[in-house]
Amino acid sequence: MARKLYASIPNCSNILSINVQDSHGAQLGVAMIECATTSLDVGSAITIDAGYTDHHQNMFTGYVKNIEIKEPEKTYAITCSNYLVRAVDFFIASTTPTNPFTRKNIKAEDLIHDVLDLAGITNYGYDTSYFTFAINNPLEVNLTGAYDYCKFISDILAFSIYADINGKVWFINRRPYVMGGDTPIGTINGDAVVNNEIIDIRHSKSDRDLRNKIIVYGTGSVHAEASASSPYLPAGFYKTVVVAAPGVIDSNGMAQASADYNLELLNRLTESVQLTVLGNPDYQPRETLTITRTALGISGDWYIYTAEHMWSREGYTTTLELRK
Amino acid sequence: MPWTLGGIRIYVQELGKEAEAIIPRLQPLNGGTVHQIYGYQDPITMLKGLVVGSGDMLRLESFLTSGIEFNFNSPEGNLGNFFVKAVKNSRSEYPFQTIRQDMDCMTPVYNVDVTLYKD
Repeated sequence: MARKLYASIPNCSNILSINVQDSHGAQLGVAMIECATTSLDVGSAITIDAGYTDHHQNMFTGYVKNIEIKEPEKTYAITCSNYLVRAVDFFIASTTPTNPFTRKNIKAEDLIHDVLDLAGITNYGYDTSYFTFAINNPLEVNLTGAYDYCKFISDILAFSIYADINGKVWFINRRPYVMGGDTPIGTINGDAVVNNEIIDIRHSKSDRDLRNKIIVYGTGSVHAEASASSPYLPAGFYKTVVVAAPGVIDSNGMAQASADYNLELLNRLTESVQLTVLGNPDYQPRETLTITRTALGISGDWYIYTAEHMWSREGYTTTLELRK
Repeated sequence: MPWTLGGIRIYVQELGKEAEAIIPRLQPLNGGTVHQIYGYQDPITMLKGLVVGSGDMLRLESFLTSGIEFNFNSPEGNLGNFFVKAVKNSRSEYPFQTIRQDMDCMTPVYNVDVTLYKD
């Protein structure tokens, strides 16, 4: 049965196409809209609700960053970034060099909260990190981007920081693979003869992101190391990454915890599935899906690492990158 | 009432409309084709006819560059305002035209194909 496409963007009409993409690994979710009429301006807040008349949902909340008007078509091409762009664009600089932003004995989630607050981000949720920074000496945050600093902190903990489709910023223990407690939001049965939603699909494995040795440098002589052999690398061979956090990590215990968290995050093969399916607004990054395609040896639950929604006169499709 | 477009007399021989729904077709693995309904194109009006006189022909062609709409009248009544999207013409070599008796019999006659968009 044919389904009627639906799209609603306040202050935009005659919408020609929408492209929304976000990824676990991306700094920001972005959206590109083409329409015939708009009263939006650079800096305007924007939401995108799209899908089908019988099933649509908000799939983006953010700000307009660029507007281009094209002739001879006389159409507008609007580029938007999600809510977290406030932090990306906010540069922390104290008015006097002697009075920078400082915190002492502060939990990671509270530090992120305070830095995001500088950028005017108050819609914020978090997981408890059990990490307390600057126990001995105050930490200073100055002459850096708010997002860059938050990402630096989240990398120490192997946490994730992102803005969701409703414009809420999260700082959570979210790994780019299926974790215990994840509940799939849906099932894609690639073996189905009727109502199959897969248009194309690929399955790949790579050691590109694998790191099996983590070294952490903290304040002064504080340091830690964690390593493990990998069945995907030659015996005794280590791919190393360094987490350098002087001024933030000031105990060997904290440094060791960071090394252990990052080893767990990075010492794994990247097994991924790239597929295009009939458009589904439910398929958003950081959710999990159950998928079966026996011919390619694909089954079980997968993490949605990247999702791109393409809505136009060519139809509505969703392209996903899933990670095991 | 004769056929006129923007006041220009056209001897309409054929009048047609073309409308189209925009229905993308997607092809999943294994299963049948899936249709999605994006929208539809408003009808395009196409007419074939005769225009008598180079003056009227030039005026009709000037509608292409005007950027404004023109009223289209039929013997049955007013059909509304239209943008002139395309005009194709070829001159017919009639020995003596008798279509427009208010004009000289040596006046040139043009076959025209006109495409109209209703706003």
